[in-house]
Amino acid sequence: MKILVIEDDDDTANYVVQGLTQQGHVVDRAPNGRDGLFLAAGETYDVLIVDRMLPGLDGLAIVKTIRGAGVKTPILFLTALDGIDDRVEGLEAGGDDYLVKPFAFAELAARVNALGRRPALAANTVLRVGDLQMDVSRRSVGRGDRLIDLQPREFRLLEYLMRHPGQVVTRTMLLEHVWDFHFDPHTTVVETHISRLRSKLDQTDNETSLIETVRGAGYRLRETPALG
Amino acid sequence: MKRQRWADLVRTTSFRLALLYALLFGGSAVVVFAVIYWAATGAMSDQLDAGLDAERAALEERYRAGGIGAVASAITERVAQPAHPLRYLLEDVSGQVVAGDLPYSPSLQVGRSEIEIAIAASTGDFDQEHRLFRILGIPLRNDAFLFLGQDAHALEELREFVFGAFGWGAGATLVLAVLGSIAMSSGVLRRVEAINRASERIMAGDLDRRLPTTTGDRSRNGDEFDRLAANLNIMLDRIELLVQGLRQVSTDIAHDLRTPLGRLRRTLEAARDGAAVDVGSAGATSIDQAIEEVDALLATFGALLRIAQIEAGASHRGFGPVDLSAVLESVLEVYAPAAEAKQQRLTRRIPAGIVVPGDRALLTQMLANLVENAIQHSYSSAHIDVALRVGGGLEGPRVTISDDGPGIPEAQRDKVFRRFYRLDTSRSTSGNGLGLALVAAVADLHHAKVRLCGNPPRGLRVVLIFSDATVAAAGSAEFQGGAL
Repeated sequence: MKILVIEDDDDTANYVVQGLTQQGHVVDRAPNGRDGLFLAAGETYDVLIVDRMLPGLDGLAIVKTIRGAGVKTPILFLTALDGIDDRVEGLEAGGDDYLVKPFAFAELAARVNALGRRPALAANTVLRVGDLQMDVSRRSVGRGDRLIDLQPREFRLLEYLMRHPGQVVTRTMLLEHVWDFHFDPHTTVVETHISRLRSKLDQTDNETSLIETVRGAGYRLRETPALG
Repeated sequence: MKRQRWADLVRTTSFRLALLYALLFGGSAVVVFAVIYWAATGAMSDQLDAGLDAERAALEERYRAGGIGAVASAITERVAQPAHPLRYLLEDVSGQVVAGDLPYSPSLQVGRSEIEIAIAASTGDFDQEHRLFRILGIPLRNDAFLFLGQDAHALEELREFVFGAFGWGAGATLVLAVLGSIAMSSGVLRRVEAINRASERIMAGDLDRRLPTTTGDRSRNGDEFDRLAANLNIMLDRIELLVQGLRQVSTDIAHDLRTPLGRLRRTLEAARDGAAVDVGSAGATSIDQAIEEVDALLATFGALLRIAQIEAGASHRGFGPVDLSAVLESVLEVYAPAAEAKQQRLTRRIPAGIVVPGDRALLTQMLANLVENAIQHSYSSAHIDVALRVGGGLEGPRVTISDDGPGIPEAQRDKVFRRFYRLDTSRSTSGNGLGLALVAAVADLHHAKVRLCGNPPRGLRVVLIFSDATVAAAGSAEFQGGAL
């Protein structure tokens, strides 16, 4: 993916650029709002990472301008602010996701990946990943020929995973999107639901586990069943 | 010192007010005296003038009948009478006195005037005295001038009397006013000085000190100074509490963060030592531990910042109608696994569709903290009950979270809402000691009350009461219109 990072702090910028480059992305960096706006308007990027507080033109203004110009590139806000209104403000201005500094790199990478591939799958009501199918409007799930009965929350969890197939999805992303929790509740609710979901999805011995745990990052739904 | 005190006195508002009143009072007294003066002396002058006019008419009649000679004889005849009321002077054109007993004076003139004239004193033969005369000067064709004089001594006395009365009255008023203002303002000054002295002490750092009042430090029943001092005292109480809180927080932060930082240091040391021996899994584990430790520290700082923001901001931007029932259900669902892991029974009595105005994310976090506390601090196989009830009377909806855990001793129930305050019994459990501080801040933002009480036979019951006003606001079309 081609990513633009608009960030004035060199340390943070280098950390983000290096990490994303290592993951195989092409990353440009703009150290201030003006350059950022120039680059964002001129080139086509898959994801924009915008610092909320920039010297000169601040992040909110940039995003408003970009959206005003009709650019639909997904935008991830980085911020040191964790106010009550800041997240809402960022999303209202046209941001798609919001990450508070300091963050774990795995969290950033997962969110960037989720954003980059979002548009293609967002509108689908029938989802297919490997031998797993989900009809969102009918609320039915099946693996191969077998119908799977899910609780509403398990359904939402699986839907989120199926909309991000093959991507790492972190615990906080799941809490935000499946439970609407914007803080860490210190419980194993995610783990519990994942393990229940696993046991419902992988019932027979010849079915391989569809949801894998990515150490230090989160979970990933396999796109193709692993061999063996 | 003495001079300074005097200057202070003169500068007081009450002194200036008293002086101003004295001036106003004096001004009105002058007006009253002027009216009396004009009325009294005017009446007397008119009376005198009437006598003069009658005599003039009589003498002019004589003049028309017999000329100047007739007038002169008439005057001589009148002067000869022992107690004649008027004095006369008839002058011919050359200035020669023809007849009369009014001594000549150069100030005599035609028309009405008042002149002081020296006459023989009534007491002694040789003395003279100056008396005021009211004079009417009349030209008699081209032959002569006739001057009629009426003794105006009574008029003069009346004037003197009125002026004297005014002088004494005004003087006494002024003296009383000045004395009164000094007395009044020195009383006020004494009170203000006492308050000043006390506030100087407080400024110098004696934060326990309170302003003096006559009725008791915080009673608002006294005069305006007492009420002012009482209010300031209540303000000082609050400031003192805040300052103490601030000191407490700084100390607590330093203390509470030193422990995890120490652990972090030991972990990093171990990682370094491990790396020197063998770059293997031991080092990696230590680094993972260190990262965990740092994450926990960051979470603590995050929570502190969040509490501070909620407390300071009182921001209602994120406010909208929040389905409290749904929020509670989702919080309970999230914590169900944790309760299950401790074999605790988590029961609920939650009617659907109870809505309060608020910030959904903050309400969720507040309720999550309360449920988490109940689970974490109760024994395994405890019973935790969460109930939501519709408000009654003046109160809004009420959330009750009861457990049969160890509870909180009554004396410490207020303190647990302070940042980093932890009961001795809970020191061993995980947590940053900020959970209830956040609950208090969020509740305050929503004008809700949090009460801690016992849950007989044992345990803790947390009661969260939303205020009725907020429910009314949520119900009104205006609020919903604004939020949609």
